[in-house]
Amino acid sequence: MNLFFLVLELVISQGLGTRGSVATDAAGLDLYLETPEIHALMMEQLERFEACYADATAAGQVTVGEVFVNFTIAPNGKAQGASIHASKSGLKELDDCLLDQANTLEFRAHDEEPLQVGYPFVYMDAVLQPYPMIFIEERPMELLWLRLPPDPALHQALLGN
Amino acid sequence: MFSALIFPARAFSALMACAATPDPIVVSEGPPVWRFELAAHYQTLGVDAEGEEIAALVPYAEQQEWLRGSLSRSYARRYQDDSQGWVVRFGLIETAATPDGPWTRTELTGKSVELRGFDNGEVLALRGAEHLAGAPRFGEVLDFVFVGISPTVPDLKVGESGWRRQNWPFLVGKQRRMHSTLHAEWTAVERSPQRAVMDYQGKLEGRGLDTPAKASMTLTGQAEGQVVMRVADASMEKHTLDWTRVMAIDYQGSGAQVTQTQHFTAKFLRSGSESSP
Repeated sequence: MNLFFLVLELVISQGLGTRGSVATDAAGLDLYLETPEIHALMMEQLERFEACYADATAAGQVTVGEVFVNFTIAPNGKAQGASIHASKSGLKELDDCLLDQANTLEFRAHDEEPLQVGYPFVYMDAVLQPYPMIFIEERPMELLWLRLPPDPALHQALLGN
Repeated sequence: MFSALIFPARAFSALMACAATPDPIVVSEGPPVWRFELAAHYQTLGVDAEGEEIAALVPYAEQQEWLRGSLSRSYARRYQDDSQGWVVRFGLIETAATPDGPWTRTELTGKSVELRGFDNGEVLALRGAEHLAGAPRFGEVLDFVFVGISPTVPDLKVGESGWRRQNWPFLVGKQRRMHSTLHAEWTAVERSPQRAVMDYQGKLEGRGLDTPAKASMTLTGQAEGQVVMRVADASMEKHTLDWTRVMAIDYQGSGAQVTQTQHFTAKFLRSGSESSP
């Protein structure tokens, strides 16, 4: 299935809220997983993915390009269902290794339905490059404020596009 | 005797004390949980830029649904402006197309928001509302449940009446927002050492903007209901309501105008109370 991922936010531009200001909201209450938190854990766990590349290069295989991996974060925080969205590695063993590692990731439990996440592994100059973004499938919300089902005909008639 | 404060202030203070400094009496009860049942009827009409009826809306001209479930509210924190935050969590929420079922779990189940407000009942924000909004959750349509479990009730003697205004915003991200208000006249109809029964009747108003949809919203309507408060701790035991609100939306992009009349009858009952919803 082709998932349409939308970039929610650039992680580097995100903050978790500023303390000390009446006007500024406090940090969240950890009810839901936020994009920076998912990204931070990916960065922490990058070494285990890098090991996949190390194995491939040790075997004399060429590893270049990007491998875009999708996975799901269940409400209990566990990653599952990892799949290759797009791969330029040309190495099935490497891709499988990345999927195995992705399926062992553990995030915090959250209140949202399973989250569809995408992350591009970019290997360049013999190093797995930390990618500055995480991709999360956005829940469609087209016709708010009315009790109407998602219907393309309604979308066209009301939103005009 | 009731204090001079309005009911939510006392109830919220009790909850706050529960979280800040353990109180064996309050803690033993746990966070309050309300079970609810509601029936909803929606009538939708729309015209396009030429004033012609929108054919795509015809299949949805009349819709009905029934919902049942539970809501809990737990004190979370105090903000620097002295407002407070409570986590309101949806338990198992089920929907049905008839009052007798079959019932199916909705995606509202397990969702939670932080309700930020003041002791006087003023609601400043619902953090996390974007997780409730949109089909098939429709939290932005069912937002009245937050007033359902936390109405702003004046302190009145039997036979007295008083007005209260209750605001509640519903913000979906930074570009979609609706601000609703209930202006209600309350009348104390019964009072015993255990319970106070208050009726209310009033009007609903609201305005909003949905920038991604290029839409502006206007809300009008009527509301009436009855609230039973527990005297000992000023907590809400029961709330029955009958609200009709009309959501009118102008879509600037298409020129379409849609009006949906949303009629809700609902009953909220605190768990552990005597009667069932």
